[in-house]
Amino acid sequence: MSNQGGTNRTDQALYQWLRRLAWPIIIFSILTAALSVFYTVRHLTMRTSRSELVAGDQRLIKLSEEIDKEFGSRDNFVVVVENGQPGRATAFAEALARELRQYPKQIPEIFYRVDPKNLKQWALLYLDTAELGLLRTNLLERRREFTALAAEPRLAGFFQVVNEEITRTMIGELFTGYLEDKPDREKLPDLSLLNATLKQLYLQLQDGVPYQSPLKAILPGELSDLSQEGYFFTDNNKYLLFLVTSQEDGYSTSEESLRLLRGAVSRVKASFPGLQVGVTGPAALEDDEMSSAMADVNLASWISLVAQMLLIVLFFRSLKRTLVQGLVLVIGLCWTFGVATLVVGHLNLLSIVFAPLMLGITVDFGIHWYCRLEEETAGGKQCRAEDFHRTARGASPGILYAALAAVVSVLPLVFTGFKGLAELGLIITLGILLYIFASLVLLPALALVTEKCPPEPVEVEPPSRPEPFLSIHWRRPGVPMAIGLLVVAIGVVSLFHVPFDLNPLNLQNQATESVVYELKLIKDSRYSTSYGTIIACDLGDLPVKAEALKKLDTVSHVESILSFLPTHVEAKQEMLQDFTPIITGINFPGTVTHPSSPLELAGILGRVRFKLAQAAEAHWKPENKPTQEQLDEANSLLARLAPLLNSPTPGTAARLAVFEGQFFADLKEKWDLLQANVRAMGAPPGIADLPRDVRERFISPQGNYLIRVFPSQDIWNTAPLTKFVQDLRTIDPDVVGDPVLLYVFTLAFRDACLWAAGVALLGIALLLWFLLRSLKLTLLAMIPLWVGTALTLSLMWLLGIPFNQANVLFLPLILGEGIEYGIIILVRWQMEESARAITLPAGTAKGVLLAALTTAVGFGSLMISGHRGTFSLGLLSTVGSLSVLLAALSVLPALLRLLAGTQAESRTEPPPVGWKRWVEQLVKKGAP
Amino acid sequence: MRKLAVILGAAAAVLMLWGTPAISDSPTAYVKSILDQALTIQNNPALAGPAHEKERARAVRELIRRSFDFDRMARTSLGPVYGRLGPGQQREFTDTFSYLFQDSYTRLVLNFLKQETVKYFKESRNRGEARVNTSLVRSNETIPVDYLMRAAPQGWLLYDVIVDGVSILDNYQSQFAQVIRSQSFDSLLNKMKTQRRAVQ
Repeated sequence: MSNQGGTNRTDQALYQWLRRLAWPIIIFSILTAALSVFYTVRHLTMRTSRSELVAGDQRLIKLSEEIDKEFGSRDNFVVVVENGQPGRATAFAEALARELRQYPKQIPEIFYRVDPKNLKQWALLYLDTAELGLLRTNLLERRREFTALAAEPRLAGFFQVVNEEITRTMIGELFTGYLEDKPDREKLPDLSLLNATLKQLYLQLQDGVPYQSPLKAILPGELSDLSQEGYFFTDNNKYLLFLVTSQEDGYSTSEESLRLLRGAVSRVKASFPGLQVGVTGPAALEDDEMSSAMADVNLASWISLVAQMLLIVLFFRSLKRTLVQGLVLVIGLCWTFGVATLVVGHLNLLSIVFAPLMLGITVDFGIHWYCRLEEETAGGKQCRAEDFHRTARGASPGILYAALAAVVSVLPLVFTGFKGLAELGLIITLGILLYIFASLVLLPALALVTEKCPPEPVEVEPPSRPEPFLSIHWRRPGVPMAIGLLVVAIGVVSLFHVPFDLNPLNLQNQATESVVYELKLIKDSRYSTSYGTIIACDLGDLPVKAEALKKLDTVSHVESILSFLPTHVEAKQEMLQDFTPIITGINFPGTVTHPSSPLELAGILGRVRFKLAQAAEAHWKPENKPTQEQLDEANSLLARLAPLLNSPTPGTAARLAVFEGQFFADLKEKWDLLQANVRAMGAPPGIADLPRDVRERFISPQGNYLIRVFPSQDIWNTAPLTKFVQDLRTIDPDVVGDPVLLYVFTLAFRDACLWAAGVALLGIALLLWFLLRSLKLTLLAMIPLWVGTALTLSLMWLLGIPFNQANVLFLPLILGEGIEYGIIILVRWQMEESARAITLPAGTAKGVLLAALTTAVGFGSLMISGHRGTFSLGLLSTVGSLSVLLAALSVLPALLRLLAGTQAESRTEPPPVGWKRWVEQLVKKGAP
Repeated sequence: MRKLAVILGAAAAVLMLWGTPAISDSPTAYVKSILDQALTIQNNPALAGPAHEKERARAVRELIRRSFDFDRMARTSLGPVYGRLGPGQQREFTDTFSYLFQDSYTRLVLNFLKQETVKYFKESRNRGEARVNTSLVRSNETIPVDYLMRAAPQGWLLYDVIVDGVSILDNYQSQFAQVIRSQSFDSLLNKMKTQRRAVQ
């Protein structure tokens, strides 16, 4: 009785204190919230780099920063041009370069071409040995043609030589073909130069189109058209790459540069209809992800808030109480933002989702408080001081315990050693602590102001007896128990079947341009915007490391300053010696001796056609398909040219003369270049001969050499990434670059999440044991957690939902929530005899139900996101919340029902739970 | 009835081939008589079509066998190497060469000489040898073909044909020389004999 009297005095003291300070508390809360917002807007920054998430390997970060400092952080954006026609792609690149040069501040550097002019005298040494071998074959086979052409530089002479060559080959094949050792020899000479020349001649006679060198057919591109050389095409020539370095000063600057770049690309693209161009690169991927996530999370936060308020309105049928809870949530969120800005100072790719997480966890506290008040006021009657006392006394311990359990569930993240998670854990921990104040002080103060709750009760009514949830009397508790056990068993099996998808590209919105083009590059070429970086300290070390790297299966190619110098120089010099006499022995005059006439050409080409028409009737084997194609093309061109030459118009001769002049000028120019190459081959180019922008990229002012190592497989997936990084570390343990960061990030994240979940589980168990002072009660409180988690895992297995870097965040949430529901139900069951009698009071169940639904709706709002990671977080959190709810309202009450009978027999009065005893002792000391 | 026509056609072709050109004929007349006979075979309706290709080839081959001087061609194609061979080797080489040339030239005739018109231009004579310039005309396309021959007791005998500036005998010379240089005469002869077995 004295205990009851003491409790009443404590309640009244608290009531009086709150009544006196309600408005100051409210005003203080609003002012500090406003201050928090102001401070946040001024000081909170965004950090999008993945390296910002990794702090576990400080040495790696330090090395990365040193390299960035030494070589400059370049090429963070990559414009990818789909190369339908090389001429268009390079024209686009030039136009884009002109456009971007207008923004030197935002785009300080572009790199899209190594100008070949300074290196053209070594063009032959830059060919690979296969190309050089082909050139040698072409020149040796056409020695007679070139000699004849030099002697008589006329188009008629050229076609006559070709005609003789065809005749000679056909005669040789017919009469002495059996002497050849190679059975798969060509039955006709290579017609590529003839066809290319006929085509240009036809176009010139037909339309007078600009001259294009037919010599491309036999000379490599490096010699035939320098205007198209030096651009960065992927190995399969499918994409042209245009590297852009933007000003880097945080997310907002980078995003602005990306917007500017995309604007420029869009404007230039307008002049190239049909050309497919996209922007990707490390910074674009990060910026797109951050922009997309921020926009989605902002929208989701508002939807979450509104939906939760609507649910609360629906459940409480009171706009007033809903607005009070909304105000508490908003003020708590503002405080959390302010504290996050003060303590952390920035948000990263992970901590950006803290707001919906916070709302999902903390909205429950107000719900439980108001559900109890509603129960105490018996559903609508005027609130009185006594109701307020009972609500504060009955709801506060459960809320406090649940909040502390939530803190314990996320607190281990702070100690993961993983910067991204640590910051998220710290922000949520601080947020929940602030919400404890908001829920236990601000909310009652607001309730007191809005509900009035007069202090002068006329007569004290005994508390009404609680009603059971849905009038369930739990007469067969064994059934839910058995189902619960089955779910746990399936959950354990599921744990081994739910994969962990650590591919960060899978988290992103797949329709995002940067993702689309990154995936295209990975799929269609050997290029990736993500590569490993290794440093060689001197020029002796550089080729050793580069060659060792090239031998790795996981490496597609290696870039260093040596990549811009010719390789296998000695072998190529030997090959060049083979045809040097041809090149030096033949000199082309600059002009045509006397122009060919259309009829003269018609006669020669007629003879060519006679033979080729005959050859076309032969039955070619499938392996001679290229010859067949050349033959068909030649016959087609000859058929089209014949009428133009046999019946010339007045303009035909003039056009023919123009073409003939251009053809021989072109031939002379290229031959002169070949001669210059032969002269220069004894002194191959060195590093000093390379352009400055190339040297700056690969040689630091300190004299270190940069090596870029590109993966041969899709390293966004964990297994190839692991192999790639491990391989690179065998060559150089100090390898850095995006793949290494990603590797460290991936493993650290997975390990950190698993470690945090395990520690949280242990921490929660210890906390409960401390608070409840009973192992049995501790285990009981964890029932919804175990069964809910098992059900969630089973559904993940069934629905094929993997764990990933985003939805793994739901682990602390499900831990905190699973515990919360258990605590709320168990504390009431433990504290009140009336509650034990009916197992699950409707008011408590309503609170748990509403809490779970608001959490589900809160996190479900994340499913509006196109960002796959955010979507999966929303989906899994919703599934998890509802699973825990189901377990909390079925398996736990069934177990409590089973235990109630035995407890009733063994004791008459429940011992006070820890916090209650602590509060009572505290108040007794201070009470008058 | 159709079978009878085929037999009669073949018999006529064979009878024509028995006609040996006399030395009194001009080189142009000689060439013309050969080409006319070849065109007759090619355009004989009784021998038309793929079903009669073997018969046409046999007839053309016989025409070639009688018209060319294989001894001289074999000797020229080998150059000085021929003189260093023993009589047996010379005979074996000439025999094989003759066989293979007939086969190749038969294919040339069968493939190129069909509906074409033959135009005859100038002829030139020099110390018992002659050259006849002709051209094959097909619609707007013309191929110059020159025939080189020498006077033999039984009449003119061809020893080279130059198609659009390319001499068949030159081709033999360069190709044979290359094989002998890089390998040996025996190797050359083996290759020729292998080819002979393949086409027989």
